[in-house]
Amino acid sequence: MKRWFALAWFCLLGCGAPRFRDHPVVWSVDDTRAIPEPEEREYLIKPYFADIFAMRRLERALTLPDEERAWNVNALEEVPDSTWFQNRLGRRSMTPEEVARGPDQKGPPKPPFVIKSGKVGGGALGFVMKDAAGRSFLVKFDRKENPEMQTGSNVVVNRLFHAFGFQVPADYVIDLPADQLTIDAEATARDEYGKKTPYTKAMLAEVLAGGPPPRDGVYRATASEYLSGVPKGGFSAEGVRDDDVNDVVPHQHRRELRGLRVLAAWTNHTDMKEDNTLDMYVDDGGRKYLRHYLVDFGEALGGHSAEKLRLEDGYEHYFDWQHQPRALLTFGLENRHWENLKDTGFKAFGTFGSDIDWDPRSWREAYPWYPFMEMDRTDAFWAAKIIVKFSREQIEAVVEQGRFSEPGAAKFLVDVMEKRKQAIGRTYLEALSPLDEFTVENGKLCATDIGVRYGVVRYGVIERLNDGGDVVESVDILNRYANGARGCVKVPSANGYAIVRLRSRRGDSVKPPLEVHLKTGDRARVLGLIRDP
Amino acid sequence: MLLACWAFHDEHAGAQPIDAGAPTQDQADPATRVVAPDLVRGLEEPRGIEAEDVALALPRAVLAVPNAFFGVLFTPLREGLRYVEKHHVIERVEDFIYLNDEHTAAILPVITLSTFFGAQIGVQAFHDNLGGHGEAGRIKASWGADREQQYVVSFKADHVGGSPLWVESVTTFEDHPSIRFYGIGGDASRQELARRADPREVSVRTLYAEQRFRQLLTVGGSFGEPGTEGQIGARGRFKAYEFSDPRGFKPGVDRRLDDVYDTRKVVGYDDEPLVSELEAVANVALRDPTGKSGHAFVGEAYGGGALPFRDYRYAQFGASLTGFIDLFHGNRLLVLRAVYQAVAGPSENIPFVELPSLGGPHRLRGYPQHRFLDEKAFVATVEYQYPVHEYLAGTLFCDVGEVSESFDGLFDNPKFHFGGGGGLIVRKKEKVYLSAEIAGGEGVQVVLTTDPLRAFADRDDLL
Repeated sequence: MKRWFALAWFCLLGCGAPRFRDHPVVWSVDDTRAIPEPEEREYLIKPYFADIFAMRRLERALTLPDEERAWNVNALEEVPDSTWFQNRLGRRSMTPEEVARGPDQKGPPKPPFVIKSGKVGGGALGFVMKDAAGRSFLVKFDRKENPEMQTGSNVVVNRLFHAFGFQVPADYVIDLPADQLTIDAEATARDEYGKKTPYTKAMLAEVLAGGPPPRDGVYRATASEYLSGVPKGGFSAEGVRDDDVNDVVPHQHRRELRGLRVLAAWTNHTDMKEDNTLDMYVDDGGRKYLRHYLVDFGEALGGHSAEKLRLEDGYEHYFDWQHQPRALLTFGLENRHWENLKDTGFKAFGTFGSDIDWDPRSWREAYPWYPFMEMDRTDAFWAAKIIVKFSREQIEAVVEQGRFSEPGAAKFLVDVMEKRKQAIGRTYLEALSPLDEFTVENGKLCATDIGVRYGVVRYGVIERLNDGGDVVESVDILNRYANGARGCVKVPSANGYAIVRLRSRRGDSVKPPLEVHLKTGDRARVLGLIRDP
Repeated sequence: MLLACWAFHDEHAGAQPIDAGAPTQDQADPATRVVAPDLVRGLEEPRGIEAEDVALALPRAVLAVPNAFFGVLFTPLREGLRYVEKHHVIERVEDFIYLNDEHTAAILPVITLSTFFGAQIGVQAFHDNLGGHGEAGRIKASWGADREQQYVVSFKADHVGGSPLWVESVTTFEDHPSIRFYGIGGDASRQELARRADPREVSVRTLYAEQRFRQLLTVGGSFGEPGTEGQIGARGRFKAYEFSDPRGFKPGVDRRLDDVYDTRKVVGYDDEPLVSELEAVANVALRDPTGKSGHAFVGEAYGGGALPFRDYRYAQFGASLTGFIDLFHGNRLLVLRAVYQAVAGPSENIPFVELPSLGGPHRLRGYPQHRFLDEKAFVATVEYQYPVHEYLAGTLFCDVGEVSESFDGLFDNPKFHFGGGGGLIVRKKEKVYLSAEIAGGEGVQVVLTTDPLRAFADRDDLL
């Protein structure tokens, strides 16, 4: 109804059915123009939380934000490469080794290590050190109660985010021999007032004592290599940066940040907040601009829940205006889903993975992140499409990077990630017609049923519809191995421009149709796609 | 929402058209183009005005007014929070008020708010770990609420020096400017009689003022281990009272106690009683030490009497049993509580202030404080607690209570008084910060208090 109403208005305003221009698809955008050095954005947790939970939330609601499609998608509804996102697994094959390597260029830090300063902010204990090659790393430790949880989670999720396409630092699980660790004479820490003080042995002892005990004098930690450039603070969840002319798409309308909700759900990265993003002012051959990173995944998987002792983590915002008032008014009679979580028996995962009926739609970040609220089903489809491409071998290779030592832990995590991946595929891929990779071959329009191709469903049917919505042609997609789950349909005759309406069928269940816009004739080709008209 | 239409820059004109899709994504796509990031969709038509924006224009214009109001309202809040965090105000204040790094010793202002009792402000100096084993010493002076003045010096330790020795010493002076007196006994008529009525025959709201000095010393032993803990000991108590006309008295609205009642029958009112008591006390708490289950049981009992001193001689005893039954997931709790309190002896030897009372937010909710007063009192509570948020729980409760001159009178011809309602508790695992309750009984009471721990105060605070 809403759509018809909107359509009526749209027509009244004189805008007809959208058509694509005959131009190549844009796979890269130029957001690397040189800019003057911007100010560092400060992150102050108290006003930030007051805003995301209450004040800005209320103001935002009063603006009556409508459902707006992502602004930065190309003709195929894909996200072009930019300083925010680089298409990796979504556009090309990656070996398990490549996925597991992540952004790593130089390998883990090499001893001896010299502490240069204390760690500022965040919940985990740690410090900043330099290795033998003079590379700087932020080092963090696990919590005593959950050995290997934060260090393992950080590296695993870091690799998954990187393969997905986000910019992340090079993180490693490292062995830190106590006898290879010294404190630089000039090393500093910050006291509770933010004032610099000398970094002392007592501080180091406190950090080391706060985590699990060493094995044979060797501590386990995560080392995150310093990014090149000058840090300029995190990026905002909405709007653009005033001092960056390259930043023209409001962040809440960036598809990668909206679709990130699905990736964050897969990895249970609930600790999504400005503090875990970072803009770096980089020098690219003399041209200086901002590159945008996601950082710190140590509290993903079961980490945030265990640290905050919140089972509801991943199911409710910290202050959740939907679930918590409902709990109040239903007098506790409702069995909230997270209350059924059980300890998995693995200290590195806590309760993560114990939800056998996990529904990605029910996932919530701990602290509301506006782009997630803007996510529509095309954003979710886009993200799910990349996630289902992670093969079991790739996931195994990534989990291996977490170096989980509990027997069976690695296999458990791989199984959980596979199950959650399938749930995402069933939920978000199958919400629309999961057809993709369109080409014109021998005068026919061919597409891959990626639901079948990536094992979300076993078989399907591609149906071509006429303008009245009737099926005029059907192609069976028998299984994922037959012709790569691809099928072809006729291209209707048209005078240079054709719109082909396709949809998927799963038994009696039909998916919403999509529109493929084609240039017809001798040099027929796909011009564009409207996934959810 | 309709798809946004985007203009495509002319700079792309003349590019070689190619097939945009590819069967395998491995193939390098020569269609890579570099354009401004907001111009990538490639539609022919420029972006039009969106239909929903038109439809929502008017409501948005209307809501812009409250939005602007909140913007103005929130600005100082935001700036205040920024200032607090940027300048480490909380850390500075904590450093200023706490006397040690462990934050166990401080001189702190005391501010409590209660819609039932009113606001109380004061100052306290404390050290919660004097001997390194949780020995807590405290000096407090406060003014306001139901007590015009209150001064407390206390020392409490369950394990003095880490030993099983349990010691509590509390000395208080309180000045209550206006305490309610409704007569004695649950059967008193509400009919108003002439002056000098028998308090057992008439129940009328009257007021009096009370000053009291109390000194308490408990010595005993603590036993058990996490999950099964208890204490047993002996307690001595000395109390001195002075009664006078209520302050803040409103002629025509309020009545003085001695305007209505025959104070010769309100034992002790004319005497300014001095009372010394000695009793045995015991308590036990059983709970799941892992915290996974909400099952718990807490029992308390005492028995003793007044030492021969002036003409006051009586025995007193009581018990309370509280069961926490885990209904679901360790966080839906059914709390069942039964309290019985009694004083025994010739009625003319029992000061009226030593009679157990019911009413108020802690004992028989929904009724005024001290609404019912007699030698025997019984109150039972059924309360259901359920989680809303990590720091917020909801409650539904029903209290039932009765007072009588005799034990048999409580149950032979019962005239139970019922109160019920619901509320919210703001809490952490180890501390309750705030409670808000609405209760109906004799009228409706709304109680919002920042001092909910008073609900668990022992008899020395309430009776």
